[in-house]
Amino acid sequence: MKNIGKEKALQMLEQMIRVRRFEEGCLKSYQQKFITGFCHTYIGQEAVAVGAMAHLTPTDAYITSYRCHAQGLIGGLTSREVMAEMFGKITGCVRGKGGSMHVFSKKNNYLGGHGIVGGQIPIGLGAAFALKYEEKEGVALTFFGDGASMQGTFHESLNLASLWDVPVIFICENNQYGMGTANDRALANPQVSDFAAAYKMKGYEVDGMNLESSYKAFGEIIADCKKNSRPALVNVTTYRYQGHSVSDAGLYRTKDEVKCWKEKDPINSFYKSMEEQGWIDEEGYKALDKEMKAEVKDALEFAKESPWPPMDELTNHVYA
Amino acid sequence: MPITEFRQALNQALEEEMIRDEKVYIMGEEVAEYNGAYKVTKGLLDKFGEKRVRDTPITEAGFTGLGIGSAMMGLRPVVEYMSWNFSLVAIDQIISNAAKMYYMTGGQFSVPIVMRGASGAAAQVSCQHSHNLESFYAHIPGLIVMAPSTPYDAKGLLKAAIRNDNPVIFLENEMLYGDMGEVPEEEYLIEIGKGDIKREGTDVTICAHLRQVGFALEAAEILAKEGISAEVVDPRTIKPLDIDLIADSVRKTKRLVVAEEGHKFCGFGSEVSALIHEMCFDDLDHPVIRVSQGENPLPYAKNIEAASLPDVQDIVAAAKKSLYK
Amino acid sequence: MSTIMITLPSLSPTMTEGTIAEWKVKPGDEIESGQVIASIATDKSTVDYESLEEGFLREIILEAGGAGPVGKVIAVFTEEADEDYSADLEAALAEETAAEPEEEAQEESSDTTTASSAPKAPVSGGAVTATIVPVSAPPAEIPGVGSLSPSAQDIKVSPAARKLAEAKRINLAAVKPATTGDRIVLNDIETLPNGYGASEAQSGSGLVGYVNRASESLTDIPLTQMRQAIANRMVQASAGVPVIYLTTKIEMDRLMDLRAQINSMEGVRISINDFIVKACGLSLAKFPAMNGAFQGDKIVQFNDVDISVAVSIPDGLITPIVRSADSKGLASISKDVKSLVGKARSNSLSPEEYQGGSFTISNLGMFGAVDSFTAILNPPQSAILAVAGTQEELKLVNGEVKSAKVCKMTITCDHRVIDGALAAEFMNALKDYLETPAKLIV
Repeated sequence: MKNIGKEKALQMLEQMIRVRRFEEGCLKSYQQKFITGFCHTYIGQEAVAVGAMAHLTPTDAYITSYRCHAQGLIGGLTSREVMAEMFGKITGCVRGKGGSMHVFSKKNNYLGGHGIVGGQIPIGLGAAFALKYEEKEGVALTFFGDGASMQGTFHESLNLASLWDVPVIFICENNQYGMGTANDRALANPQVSDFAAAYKMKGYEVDGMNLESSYKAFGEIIADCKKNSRPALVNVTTYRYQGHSVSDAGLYRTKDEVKCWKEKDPINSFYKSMEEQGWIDEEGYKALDKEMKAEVKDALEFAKESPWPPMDELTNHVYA
Repeated sequence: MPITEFRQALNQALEEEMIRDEKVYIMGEEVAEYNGAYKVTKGLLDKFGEKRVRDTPITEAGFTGLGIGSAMMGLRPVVEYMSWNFSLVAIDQIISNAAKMYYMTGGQFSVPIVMRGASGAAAQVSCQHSHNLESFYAHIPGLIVMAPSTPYDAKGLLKAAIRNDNPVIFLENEMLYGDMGEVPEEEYLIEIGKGDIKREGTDVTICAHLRQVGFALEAAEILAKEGISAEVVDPRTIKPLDIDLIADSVRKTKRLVVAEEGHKFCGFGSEVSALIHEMCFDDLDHPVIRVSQGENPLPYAKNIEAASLPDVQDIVAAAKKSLYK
Repeated sequence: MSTIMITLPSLSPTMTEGTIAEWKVKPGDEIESGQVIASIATDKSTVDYESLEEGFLREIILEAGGAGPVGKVIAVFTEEADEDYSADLEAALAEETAAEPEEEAQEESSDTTTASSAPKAPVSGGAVTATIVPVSAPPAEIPGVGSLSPSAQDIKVSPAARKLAEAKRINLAAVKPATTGDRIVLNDIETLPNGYGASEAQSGSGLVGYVNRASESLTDIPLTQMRQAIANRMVQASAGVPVIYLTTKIEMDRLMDLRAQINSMEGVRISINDFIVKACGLSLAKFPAMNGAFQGDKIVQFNDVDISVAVSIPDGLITPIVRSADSKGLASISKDVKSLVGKARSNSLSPEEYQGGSFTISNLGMFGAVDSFTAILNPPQSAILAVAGTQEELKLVNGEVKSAKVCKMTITCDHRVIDGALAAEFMNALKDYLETPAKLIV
């Protein structure tokens, strides 16, 4: 905790709570049919993106799958911009054209949320390649799930990254399930970091339920990647509390299992650690939570009141 | 005007654009040390070095995705597929990512990438190496599809493609790489979406692209001897399509034959035929005739391969049929 | 302090309503966010519903087993255990019930709009109420036969050829598909002169002289439905049908004498036309080949002799039908004609009274000045008889000059069905009946 410091800790706690309250707001709005289509939430996995992205500079890039709201918020998009996108409004971060799965932000180098499992991995590689090509000191964090780690694009990207010394960090958010299939039923080796050795790069195992360890590990990994311009593969153990998407009844896992993981809740454990440091007390925590709830409430109001995309938006941006 | 080989015209375009813009780089299988499977990239490694001319492993989805990601970050990659047949393992990258990116990011991230290589049938390379993918890629909003038939068009279009901010599918044909044609020394670009009348005529329009243009011109010669004046229109870009040029020609000649190397069903010819029927119904003296490949995979054996592929005589016969002759 | 309405959640992308399978909490319970409070049956499955709200469950509105639409209030939470929520609940429920009938009302009103703006489908078997009846339209269907009447529309023409023919004022009906055998194409049109095959009216040249006139010297008369129908049918009949005309002179003296005798009887009034109808009926029965229609790949012969009689009415003309004219007596024919003419003039003919004749008589005998004319076919029929006025003529009988009342009758025949010889035989028979009118009675 000492290495993190009070200010950074408070900032990260706020980010985790923001993400969680935001996702809860999404779920509620989905149930009220304000949000439709697909909707995949990040609840439970907050410490992964928050811990990794805490070390990014404005030069760095990042990309993820369709579970993409959190990276948008952590990277600097406002709750309003992301929520309006959920609602399909013109004020959304991609003008209502992408929805839940396609949060992007060019100004933040967020290369977005992608809907095809594994499809974004070589793009993250390409972003890092571009940084190196232009001799910028930067990395590209490439997030994906354990389900994507058996796609060809994953292995092709690892091979190319290692071959060409590309400063890309492959982050497998191993939340134990590819949709409804437990990873030991889909992956010959669920310890995804093992593949690093095969491609001659560094591999890491990180506890994604603990922000402190996630923050520390990514600090070292990112620094090493920048210094040596070498890729890395990180397997982050984490868990999503909600279903794969909102229409997932969750019949493939037991309530006890979910309860067990919730006991390791990243927000609660980080708050406890901060409390031990005397950086925050219950009152402070409640105030912060209230602030985040209010922010999400405001975002929901904003999204509700925002106009739909005008008809000319339909054919706008087909070609650059 | 210097007479230049088709592959050399492409090479000039690449070299000129790489000199003009540092962000342009080339990657693909065998493009660097081997000088390109078809020698289109010959000499470029020596001129620009490993950073900008990169041999890739045989991993099309991976390097296509890499190209797309780098294009989103501002680079202008030119990806070579040794043949477009291999693009099929990267088609998710091309369609879900390259084509849709600008739209689904609300106009934030454009993807200025050129993907090029040999397409269509070569000589007896059989079922898996002879795909004509025009209609696959032209079906997708967000992609530009080019299919030049001459060294001049190839150079002007490739330069325009590299400067364009959209993903461009640039289709070449192995059988054309050795063709010779006039290419000016001074720089020029060809406007994307602008077709070209390759031969003027009054009795029947033959719309053709890539290798079929040569066949159509030969067919026009034969037809001329029989007193039939054929106009050969080369759209040059499949998408956006210069349908107005084709329609204007049909309004003049009243008949249209569309020659393409790909299959008929849902093919490029079908699209042109539908558009012409929509635009020029009252001008037609005969339904549009499609000349295309048989509805079978392209076989190896020389005789049945030839029977499946459209050729000069097929175009001549179609043109005459359109004139009720 | 606040009240939270728990509404039926949408738990799948396609869910529009749901059923409470079970409540897992009861009023008074303190609920945490994330706690399962109910299981809900959706269109896909039954799923646990985790509360996204926290507070005290005060009241269950939709009991287990109850169903409702997504968004329906199913329970009430309050932040504190003992808050009063009745006013909020009442308001929420009122809003809910207000929303429902509104939707229904909208549906109803849109129904009304549809009903009033959209034309009602005709009731089958109902009377056709048009006051202007079309000219003897061909029967919509002849049992066992498809549609009749080959016409210009049936000729295949390439769009380009059609366009060029229009520009050159060429009548496509007159063009042979010489290039292809079945479709007229540009090549067939390009070689023809402007105006080829077109009558003056069709080519439009008849209007040329008027075009430059000052508009006040012209009066536009809008086409009535009947006039339009006549125009269409006459063009149809004259375009593309090869016709022959045969004329004969018939001495009417004996017939007029006979008629005078008959009409001298109390209450009887037979017209000349009635005799002609009867004579045509008998002649057609004798030559059934005259009683047919050309139909593309075959000739259809009518088994009944149904004679259409052209009747002039103020709006134009109509051809009511004397059915089975060959087997009816003169008195019966006369009665039919009187009744039909009366109805025609009062626009009260029913369609079956003017549709489906097999032969037509057009009689202008009442106009004495007309001493001969030809009629245009009444499609799909193959023949029409034009009856002119009766004139007194001098004739030589065995070297002596005698006078005779002579009527010229001209038959127009569709040559595809009727050849000259057949038509001549028919005219001979007709002449024989009319000049020996006793045969019409016996």
